[in-house]
Amino acid sequence: MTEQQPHLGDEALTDLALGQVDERLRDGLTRHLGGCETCRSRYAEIADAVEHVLVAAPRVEPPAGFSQRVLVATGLGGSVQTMRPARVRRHHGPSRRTALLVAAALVVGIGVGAAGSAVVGRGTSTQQVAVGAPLRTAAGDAVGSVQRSWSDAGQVLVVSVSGGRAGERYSCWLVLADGSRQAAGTWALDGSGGGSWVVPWPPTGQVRSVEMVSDSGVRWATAQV
Amino acid sequence: MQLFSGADRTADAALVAGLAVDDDAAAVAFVRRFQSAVFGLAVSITHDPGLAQDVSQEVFVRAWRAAGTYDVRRGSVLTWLLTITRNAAIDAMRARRPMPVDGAVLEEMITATLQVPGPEDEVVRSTERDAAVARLRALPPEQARAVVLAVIGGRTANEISVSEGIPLGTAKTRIRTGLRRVREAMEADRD
Repeated sequence: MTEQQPHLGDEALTDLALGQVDERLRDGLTRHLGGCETCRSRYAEIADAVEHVLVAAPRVEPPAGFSQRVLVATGLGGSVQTMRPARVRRHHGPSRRTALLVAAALVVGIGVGAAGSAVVGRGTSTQQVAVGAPLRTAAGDAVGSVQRSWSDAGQVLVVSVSGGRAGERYSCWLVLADGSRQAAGTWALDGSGGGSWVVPWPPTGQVRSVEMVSDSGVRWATAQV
Repeated sequence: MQLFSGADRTADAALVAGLAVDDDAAAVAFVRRFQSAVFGLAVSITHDPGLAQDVSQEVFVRAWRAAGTYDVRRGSVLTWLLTITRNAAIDAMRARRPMPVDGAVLEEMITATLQVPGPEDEVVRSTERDAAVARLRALPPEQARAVVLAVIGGRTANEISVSEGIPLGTAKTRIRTGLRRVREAMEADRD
């Protein structure tokens, strides 16, 4: 859309700032904002007011033990250290989290090898999705990544998902160069719709792609390795 | 009195920076500093302490993951966290079966939001919150109620029209006008 098109009304901009529009309408409004400086500026003002009002929300102390649960969930605060060896925790850069997950899995050597795949983390951020081969849905949405790495047992694939539905189960299939398929494991996504797993590289051939298939047999996402 | 001022913004940003490099002490301080604000907003939207706990935990995990992308120039840490909280709580509510909310519960939430903090609240007071409450209280009461219900209660204009017993158009006008006045007050204070 361009400046020549009619500007959005305050009602639409307010609904958008309050998150009260459905996905399709939101996409249209967002597209318009992308090309209309006037509306973008008015939207920013409304969104600014919404954010300001949010701060007035009443304070309520959560039940005892809440902060400890959060720290366990993030693996911080000295609660969960096994997945984050000290020597890899100061790694910086855009791929920091994935590097940590991979390094942690490989350093502690959890479950990688003939035993099958291993869970190495509780999810990934959008930033991580850009690392390795993107895992995309048929619609083209990036929902994770697949990265090649190494362990003591040999080559592995690190499959990271960040854009799934919480609790959803998927089977991971490796599609080999000869077209054959090999099951790598079945996993449930965590409460945030994410998860990371280490999959041993098959001894029998090259992996062409990785597929995540739902329990109903629908291929949810694919990564070209 | 413990007031979190502009200097605290810098301290908050430092906590996020610590979180971004997995600093344990920063993580502990970060959660303890913001947990009552996050949980308070989550409860205001969900009216379900159990669900609010799940939402709040999810908010901190998301914040941990996104800590490296936080930009202090775009707003305070508190605002950033509460925006994540609002989105997460509304998503959680949409994912479950719609349930009517008792009018008394909404009244309690509005009252708690617009209440001038008393001496017993001093520990958790912040200049940022004081300013927001003052601007809401400066609105005509019907607009303040509509704005609080929409922003802090996460209610739709349609739900507000039902709970307030007013036409949908009136509910939308109150929300819009109230937010515009809040914005004008913010600008006037900056001048």
